[in-house]
Amino acid sequence: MPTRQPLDSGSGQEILIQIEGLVKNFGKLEVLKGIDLNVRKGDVIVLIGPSGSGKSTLLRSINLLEKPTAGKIIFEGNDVTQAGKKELSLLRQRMGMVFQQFNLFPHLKVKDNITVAPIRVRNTPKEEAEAKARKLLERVGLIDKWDTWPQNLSGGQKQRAAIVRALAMDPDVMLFDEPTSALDPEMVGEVLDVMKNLAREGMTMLVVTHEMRFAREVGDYILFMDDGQIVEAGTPEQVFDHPQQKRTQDFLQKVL
Amino acid sequence: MINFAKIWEILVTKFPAFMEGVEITLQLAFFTVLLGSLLGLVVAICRRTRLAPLRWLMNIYVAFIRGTPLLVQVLLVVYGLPQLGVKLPRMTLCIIALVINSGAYMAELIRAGLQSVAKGQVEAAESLGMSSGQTMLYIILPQAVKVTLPAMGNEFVAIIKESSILYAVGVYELTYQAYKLASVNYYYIETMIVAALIYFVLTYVATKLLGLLERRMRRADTSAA
Repeated sequence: MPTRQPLDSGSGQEILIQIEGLVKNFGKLEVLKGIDLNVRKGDVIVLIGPSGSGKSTLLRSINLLEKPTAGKIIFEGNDVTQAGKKELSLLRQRMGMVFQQFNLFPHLKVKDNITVAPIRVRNTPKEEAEAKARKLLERVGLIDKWDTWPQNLSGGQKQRAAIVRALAMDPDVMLFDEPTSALDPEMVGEVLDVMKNLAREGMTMLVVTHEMRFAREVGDYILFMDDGQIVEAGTPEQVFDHPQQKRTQDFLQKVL
Repeated sequence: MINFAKIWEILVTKFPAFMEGVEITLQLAFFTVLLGSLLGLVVAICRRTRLAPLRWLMNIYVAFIRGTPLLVQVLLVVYGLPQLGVKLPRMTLCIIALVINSGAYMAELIRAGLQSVAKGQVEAAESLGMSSGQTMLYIILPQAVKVTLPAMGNEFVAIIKESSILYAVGVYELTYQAYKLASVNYYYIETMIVAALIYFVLTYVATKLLGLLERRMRRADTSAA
């Protein structure tokens, strides 16, 4: 039997995240059936596939929001699945996450949403954290929302603020879990633009999305998942224009 | 026959005695809510820990307090503790009894408040590297307290009324003052009507003030932008 070769995003340099034999069961349900994947620094990897295929679970396993049933996730040399509380906190600080439902903290103003983690978790001095927050908000065009409550932002603004909140911790990788799925159509663009800029600046990104245009345009590497497995992987041209697997072809036919 | 003129007369002439009772009643309610919510908070958090024995202990405490009469609890603390060698002023013992009682109910309220915070909030906090303690302190608690505050206000109003039970152990709160007066002047109906009116004014004003506070807090949320 041939040894299993992990999928490798290949275009970047050093490997940032190494996933080996990742299995996740919810009770009797097998959600991830042994995922092997190498993510290289600077790569933008887009996970596509039907709902229930396990792509969100894969993403959420990387920072251990879901506890894997088996397998390893090596991030910058440390196995996330074996990390103690302290170590896990340090690892998570270097992985930013953006959620479908934004999950901004409703009891904190935008500025405090962004600075609470740097100040409380990393003990960054307040002035320094705020200076950085201002700079980041300016970059996503939200500096005028500095003193605003989250509930007074539009969906697109909320998600941009949530991205800034994650970036404020200086992560080495950003995990996006369907960042535009809860948005009104007219607000999708502003969030995707922020993500495109991030990608251009060289941020390593894993993105679960249904935005196929974005996937093709920004992704270095596309993973098509179905039924808890990576069915097909490759460059956007390979996956979108010349899909080899029947399941990929069927899926793309439905969504494109 | 009810002597209405007498009601007024009792209120005016015995006003200082009633006010003394009001002061003690309000003190009881204030300290009970303050310390009771702290106790409730500790209990509510303990009931979420992974330490099963601690959880059981807290569940037993809450179930026991909710399943027994307040008066029995008061008698147990006020007469029982001194028998065990705990020498404290009567008033302090009463506050302890009320706090133990109120803490159980507060724990339930706070638990509901903690549960009302969306799961995504915890995930967002954890994804930023917050420990479970930091998540509780900076993310969950502030949101839970806001949800729980109105219920805590209701508890304050409830204790103003419930503390009347302490007349049984001779604490000079409002009911005891009235009872003492009536047993001297024999105008039981009129004196108790005065006490009832004073209780009503207290709870009515407290309810209105708390409603005002609540509205202002809600407004601060939405208009601050």
